[in-house]
Amino acid sequence: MHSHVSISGTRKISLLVASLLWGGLTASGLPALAADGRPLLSPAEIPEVASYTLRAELDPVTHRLLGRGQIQFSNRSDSPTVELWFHLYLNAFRNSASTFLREDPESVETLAEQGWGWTEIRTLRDEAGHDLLPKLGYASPDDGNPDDRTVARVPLAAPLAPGGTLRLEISFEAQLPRVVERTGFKNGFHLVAQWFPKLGVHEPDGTWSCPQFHASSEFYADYGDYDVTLVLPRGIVVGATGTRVSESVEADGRIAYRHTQAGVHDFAWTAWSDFVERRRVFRHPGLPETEMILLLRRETAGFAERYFRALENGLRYLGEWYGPYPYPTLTMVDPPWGASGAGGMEYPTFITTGTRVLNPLPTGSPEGVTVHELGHQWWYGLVASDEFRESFLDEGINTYTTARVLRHAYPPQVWSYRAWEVPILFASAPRDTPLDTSARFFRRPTVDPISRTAWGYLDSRSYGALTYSKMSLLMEQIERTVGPAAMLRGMRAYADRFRFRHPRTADLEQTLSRETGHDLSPLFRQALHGSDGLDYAIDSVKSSSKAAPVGVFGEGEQRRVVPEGEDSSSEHAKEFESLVVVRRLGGVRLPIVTELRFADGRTKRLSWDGEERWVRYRVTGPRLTAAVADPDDVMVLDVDRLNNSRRVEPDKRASRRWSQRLRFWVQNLLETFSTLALWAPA
Amino acid sequence: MSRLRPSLRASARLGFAEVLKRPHIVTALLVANLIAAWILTAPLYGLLSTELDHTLYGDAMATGASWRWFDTVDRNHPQAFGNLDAWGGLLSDGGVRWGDLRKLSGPALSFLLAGFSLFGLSALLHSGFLATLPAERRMGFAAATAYYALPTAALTFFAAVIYVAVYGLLYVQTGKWLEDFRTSLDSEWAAMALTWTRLGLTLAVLLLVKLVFDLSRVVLVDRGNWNWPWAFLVAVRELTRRPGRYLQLYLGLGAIAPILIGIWSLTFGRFAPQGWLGLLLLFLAQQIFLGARLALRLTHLSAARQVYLEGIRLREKPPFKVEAPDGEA
Repeated sequence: MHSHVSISGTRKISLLVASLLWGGLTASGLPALAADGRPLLSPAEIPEVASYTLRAELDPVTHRLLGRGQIQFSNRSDSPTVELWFHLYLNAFRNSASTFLREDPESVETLAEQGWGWTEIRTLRDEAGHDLLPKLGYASPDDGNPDDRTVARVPLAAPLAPGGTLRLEISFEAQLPRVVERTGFKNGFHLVAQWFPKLGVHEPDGTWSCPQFHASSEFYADYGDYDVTLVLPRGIVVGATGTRVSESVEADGRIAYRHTQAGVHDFAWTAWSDFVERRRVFRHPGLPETEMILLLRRETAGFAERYFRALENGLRYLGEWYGPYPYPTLTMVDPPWGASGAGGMEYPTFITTGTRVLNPLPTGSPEGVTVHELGHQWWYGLVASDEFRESFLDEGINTYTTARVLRHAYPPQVWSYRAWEVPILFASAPRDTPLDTSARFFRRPTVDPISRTAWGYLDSRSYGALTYSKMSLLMEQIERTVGPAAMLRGMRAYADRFRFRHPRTADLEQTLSRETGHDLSPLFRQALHGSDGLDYAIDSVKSSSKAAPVGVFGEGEQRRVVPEGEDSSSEHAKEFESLVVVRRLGGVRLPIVTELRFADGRTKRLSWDGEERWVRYRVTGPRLTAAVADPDDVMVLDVDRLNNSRRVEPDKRASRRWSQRLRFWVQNLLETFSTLALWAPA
Repeated sequence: MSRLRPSLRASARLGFAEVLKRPHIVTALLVANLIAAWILTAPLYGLLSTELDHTLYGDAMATGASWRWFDTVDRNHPQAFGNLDAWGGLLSDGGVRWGDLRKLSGPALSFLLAGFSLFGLSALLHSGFLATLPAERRMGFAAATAYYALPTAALTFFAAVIYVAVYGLLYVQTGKWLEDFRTSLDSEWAAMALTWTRLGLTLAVLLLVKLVFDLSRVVLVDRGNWNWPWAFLVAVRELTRRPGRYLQLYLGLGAIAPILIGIWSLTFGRFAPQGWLGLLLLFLAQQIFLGARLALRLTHLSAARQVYLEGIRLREKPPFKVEAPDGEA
């Protein structure tokens, strides 16, 4: 495949910039290596499929954008291509009939009041001068919605043979919407993402993967080189994907900012006159240097140090665990108040986060979202899984690795509640990671399987509970099953092998199974492709003094009848017979360990394959005090941990304490009701 | 209290002294609430025991973060607690979400209704307390509560209607408008200031309605009749005459409440007893805390009465003219 790669003008610049700024070298001057010792490809070395050279002019008053430029597409499949598929994402905000707004009707009111968004291709010609625009048509491959215009298909004048490259001249016009989700404007602030006609993914079998824009779905695109010039009035702070290679004044006084980046699959940018810019270079032994650029609103400029620390922690741990971050820059945007819809998103070398002005460190904000969005530079950016059809591969894995970074770099977060904008911290209640941070899964454990398209879940809550939380818990369960070292080895192998590629779920399963030495297919089949719950329970525990045998014993002359109670002084009275029943309440069948705890302090562990619905253990020995299923907390997907243990004798301390607490709460409530009858704001 | 003017401090002291003279009434109110709370929570004790007594995680659930336990209960016993999410929605910053009321289960709604009924009962008992204060027509607590039950019930209902109407108007006219407006701002501080403005307006309205309601009962008891509409009008007039004094009194005394809550949070609020003795100690501490809150509320009422009586005394004309001594202005 490499022999087919032609070095375009864009690519030459990118290569030059990459070699000047980074060149794939670590801070110590050595090339970045994969876990197996081979050098990792730098972004400038990977085969480009879809590259863009664009010029965009933004009118920040009307929020109208005019674009033009060239798109270069290389057919790297084994079959000829007769058409091109484009994403026209901004048309999701065109009217209430779009698929996006049908799925997210709550945004319609805001858009209707403050501005719809749309995009239209004005011209489209191939290098031979054929006008392709007249044959452009809209497609709705996911839901057949005839009113959705987020996907366009264009027949080519002639088939493009495998290995061939096509260059298109394009111009387009776009109206940015009021930010409701990911892209748009809010007053003078602009977060410009999904703004240009972007090619879908041309799969190896020659088909196009180009889903419509859905309310829950994100993005999926082929790698290429980007050379983008942004033209805006003077006095506006601009940040964008890649590195700024030039800044020049246009004839009309506007400023042209040129950004380039090789080896990425999208380009986003932002523009706002009120941004406060902070820069710092990340340096860590064994990892390449990265210039971190923060674009903050004035009110959160005081968070700059916390943002930098979060980025540094992420770049360090994620780089050490899953391979170095290969780009020379990383831009982070904290959107203004009222534009949080643009926050918490990932684009190549460009992320958006967000926080509130009153957020002390124990709340974990903005650290959590910052590390998470940075983590997407690995899980989406470098390992470019399909965020439309397998969103859990980036969101779930990223949630899992975010939790790992936070555990390594920060003390536990505490529970907090925001009352009238003021955070109230429950300092004595640290949050458990990942159980507490994935709490939403436990509220909807069996609604859907994880393996759904992003728009195929029952609703957005199910999407969040499964794509993020259940998948991250699944990864955590694998780590607890195979051990942290084996898991790290497996994930590093996955990250190395699929760096700058498009892996599927099977790739993750096979890589982890191979590298960890555990057959993970039963877990993937049941917990990822299935929707059954995992729930083991200790159904009953009994322990009673072993009764001496009664009845007829011996034969002939020795025959005698032993009545009940006669043998009370024998060794039988010192032994106990214990019965433990473990049940599988959920549909997921996995081997499980049960620990029996005895009065003399000894323990005994018993394994069960979990195939049947229950297993009964009968044990003779010391008095049993309790039984615990999954005593090492390996099965974090267990939907009900309360039933995982059972005491022989009840311990009423907890229920008494809860009872007293509840009664006190209600008594307080009643007195507060009487606040209305007799004033006192207590 | 130290910030109150001397005469207000005297009113507050007198009011507090009246409460101290009636420990049986404070105790009666405290016990009434305690019994009501016990009855309301009794059905849950068995459930708690079933859920927690046999699990090794019970202790952790009873002391640490408890969402997992709540989630389990919510999932396994939806009819016992109702939808916990709906409770959360009802208490959200954005105001009351009436639509979420439908998600509450029958028992949960019964609990709410029982609570509101007790609000009415509290009002009756408080009026009973108030009626024991006039020295010239001293009545026993029970007799006073019974005597003023009807007009107090009418006043309570009237006050509740005013609360709902004013708060609803405020929320719809101001709250919604502010909510829309605040998202259009670029400054988060400005947006928060708007939220706090709404909170302040709401509290101010609640305080004003409360003041009128309390004064209405003071007037009712002072005049010794059942004419509650007339008492309400007199109270409004009294409040417009001397609003500063009443506001200062209520806010000054009200400032003690956060101190009480702070002391509780730093002491017994974090106490997780392991045995019977600890539970007993905690129970006693809880009742002392709640008793102090109750005494503070009753002090509000009796101190307001003192201020009202002071106002009447000031307005009464002296029976003869007092001449200034020679040589003095």
